[in-house]
Amino acid sequence: MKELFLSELRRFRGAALIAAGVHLMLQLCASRLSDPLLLSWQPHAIFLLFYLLCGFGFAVYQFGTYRQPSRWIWLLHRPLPPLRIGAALGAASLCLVLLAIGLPLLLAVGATDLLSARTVDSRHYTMVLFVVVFCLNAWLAGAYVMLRGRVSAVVVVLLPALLMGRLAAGSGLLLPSAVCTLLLASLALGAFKPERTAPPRRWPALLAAGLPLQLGFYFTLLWGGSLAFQYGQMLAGAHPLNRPVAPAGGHTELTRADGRAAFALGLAASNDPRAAHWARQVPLLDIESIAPMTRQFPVRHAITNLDSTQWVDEERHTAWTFSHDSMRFDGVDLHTGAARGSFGAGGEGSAQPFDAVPLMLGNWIMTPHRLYRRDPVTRRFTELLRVPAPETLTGVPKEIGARWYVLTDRRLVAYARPDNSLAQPVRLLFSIPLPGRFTGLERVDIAPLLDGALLSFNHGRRMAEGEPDARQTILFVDEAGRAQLVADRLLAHDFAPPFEHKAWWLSPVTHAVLALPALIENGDIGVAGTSEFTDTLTRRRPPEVWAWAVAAALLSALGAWMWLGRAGVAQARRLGWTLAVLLLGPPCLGVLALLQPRLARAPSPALAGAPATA
Amino acid sequence: MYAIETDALCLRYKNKAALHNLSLALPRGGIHAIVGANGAGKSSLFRILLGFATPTGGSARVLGCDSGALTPAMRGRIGFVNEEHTLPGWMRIGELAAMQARQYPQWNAERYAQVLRNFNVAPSQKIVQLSRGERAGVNLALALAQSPDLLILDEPTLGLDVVAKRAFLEALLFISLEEDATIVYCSHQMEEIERVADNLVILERGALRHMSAPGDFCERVHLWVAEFPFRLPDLSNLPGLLELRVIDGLAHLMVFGQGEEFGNRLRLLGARSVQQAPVGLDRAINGFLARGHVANAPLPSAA
Repeated sequence: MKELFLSELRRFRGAALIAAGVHLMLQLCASRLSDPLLLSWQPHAIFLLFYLLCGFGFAVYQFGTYRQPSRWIWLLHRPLPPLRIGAALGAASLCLVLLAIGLPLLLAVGATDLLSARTVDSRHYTMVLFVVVFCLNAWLAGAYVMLRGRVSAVVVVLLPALLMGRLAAGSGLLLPSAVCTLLLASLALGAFKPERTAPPRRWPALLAAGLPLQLGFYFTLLWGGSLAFQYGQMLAGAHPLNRPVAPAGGHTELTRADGRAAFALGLAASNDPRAAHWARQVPLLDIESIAPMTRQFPVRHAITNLDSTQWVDEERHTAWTFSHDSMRFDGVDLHTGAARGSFGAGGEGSAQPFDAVPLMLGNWIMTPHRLYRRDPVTRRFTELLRVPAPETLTGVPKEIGARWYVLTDRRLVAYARPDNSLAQPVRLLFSIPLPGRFTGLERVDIAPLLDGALLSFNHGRRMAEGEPDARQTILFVDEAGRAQLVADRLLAHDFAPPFEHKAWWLSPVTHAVLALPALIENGDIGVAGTSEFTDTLTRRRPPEVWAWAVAAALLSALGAWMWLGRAGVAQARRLGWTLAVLLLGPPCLGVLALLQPRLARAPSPALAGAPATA
Repeated sequence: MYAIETDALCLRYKNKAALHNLSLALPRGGIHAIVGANGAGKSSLFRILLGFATPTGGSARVLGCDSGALTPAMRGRIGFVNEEHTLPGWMRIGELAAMQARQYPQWNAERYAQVLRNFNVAPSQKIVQLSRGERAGVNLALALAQSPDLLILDEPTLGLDVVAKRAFLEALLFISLEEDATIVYCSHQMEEIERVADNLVILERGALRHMSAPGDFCERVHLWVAEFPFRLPDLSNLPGLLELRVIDGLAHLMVFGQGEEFGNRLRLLGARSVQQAPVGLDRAINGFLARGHVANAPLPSAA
């Protein structure tokens, strides 16, 4: 084993050293041009994709040569268990990944930390580990794809993205990363046997091989099927989002409507005697809208950034970067690179840490429960308002008339507009509880009246994903802040229920398993992890959708039974597979087809070519 | 006990049968030569024997062990050399030998050095720098040094020069005689087979066609030369006919398993003169295999 490990290191040491050198040069170049650690998650995701391709490509090359029949025999036909041979190659590849990917990254982060005043947190070192693990997982996926030799095996590459693609704290991602690595390692090592295409013999091995594939096939079918269906709708001119005129009464119609049209749609469904009067009045009013500015807050020690973590004081040539370790902004002189102190919750020079990682929205600094305003001219820093936890702010105040409207995940809050100096605390006028779930809230239209205001809540945002209670609610709020219901109408479905609930009926069990990452906090507003998980499990499904789920499971089970008729397996295994497909739905049928190939058909007499005896 | 034993072994690739009800029993010891045309199923048989392919029917046992369940220890007792001489090009010869020496418990360093001496290579040379013949030499030296109980050689001498080939064959004979190893030798080089093989196995289209000592096989194949003064009659239905050629007006018939009565048949068909001649192993096997190639006609059953 040790010899094979060293042999593999010898094989790629030159290439790995060159890759490490190039990688380090690129890192240094990037750090001169900008600060890669400060980039938001989108460019980081592109970098991660690059690393994924590196790991995957490495495995494709490595096993592209090994899987040739003669080379495979040379590698496996020796007095060593195949698992140990695979482990030796895996260990060598991990070392090479560490050398080519991990070491340059670590050097770049360490050099930035030690040799500059830039903000480097412990999370950035975690990020290096995360990238290495991601690259290793991509290598494992590539190894499996090459050894398995079936194109459909490529679905396993989805697993790292599924389990690790969350804007969560690095520590929170360690467990899913480890699970992902274990699953992929068992999959790749399971394919490390003389007869590569033979199905796993024992049930534990079969389960280990099947689980990642089940998730991969689930998403492939879900996204592929959804795309195919929607393209079909577009070609037929029937796609709700693609039609010039949206379907009547639905969410698309309401979302496309401006404030006046939205009120007109809602008031038309009202029984309130004042509705007709307001309907005539609305076209003459200045109607504004307020929508959540963010649906997610950064999580402390997250390995990447939800948004920018820096703001620049141009006048003083100082860049302020938020540190997750100190929970304050660190200042760096833009000209000299020298440290310029810290900026805490009390303002410049304050050592008081922020209560949470903030979002920067222009001159506003917002944490989940507090809103601060900084004045770039006077450099005053003021805490303007706060909401009690667990209520969460979703944006900065919107000025409409003489009021400030602030949207939280539970209420629409109106304040009296303060003076420009912001010296006085803001005064609460009224607050209206949201009539629906925040996750479904698209926007709130506000029509100021002489004796109050009309509010239209559009709660259909996640209707196409099966979220229930999509509705438009119109409230009248009088001067005293009392709310009266004017109209409440359910929105019509733009898509048929089977499309809206496709993620569930395709495989209810897999859907429930995939809700598990929701338990890892990633700063989503309005959805505590446990409640989102519970909601996914307990959500009501229309009878039509249940019928689809049952039909899909039954048809898949029938397909599995027929497929196994020619696979030459024992009756118990045939029954076991069929029950598994019945339970796990169509994705499991794909897993079956990949793991349990059928035998070749019996020859027809004409093709047999079997010579007769003389 | 047999070194290799297959029973109604079948292997199908989609619509093609690579092996068709192959029942074969090779006793332990000696050198067994397997010959057959391209696509006869030799490599498929080896893949099954080593556990790298699962048969679609039948069973195969190697050294008494099911071929699909070879343990690492069993693999250590079975050597394999293929015609491509696939070795890791990035390693040096010395490193490779050291690696193999640590892994194989019966490693024979003396034999390794002895075989390798016939090739002009140095331990510090990288495999990738070797010519095909040198690579073959290193591969054979590694395989022989493993002191296997069963050594499977698939076209091993392709690319070797005369001296190296002779050295290799001598080493082969040595381990066969001195260590009672079983050697399965697949080659198209008939002079090699004639020289070393104790047993000849002929495969055709995945099935066993013949198995006997090479000498016995030669004795059963004869060349008949007949002169027909008039029009050549239809000879294709003659029993045991392997190959028919007309050269300078004389019919040359390669025949398997027919005695003097075959000459009488030819005379009855109008031959003015008939002569019988023995043939060498090369010609006999060629004739035996030609039937399958040319006419796609039924062949005699395993003898």
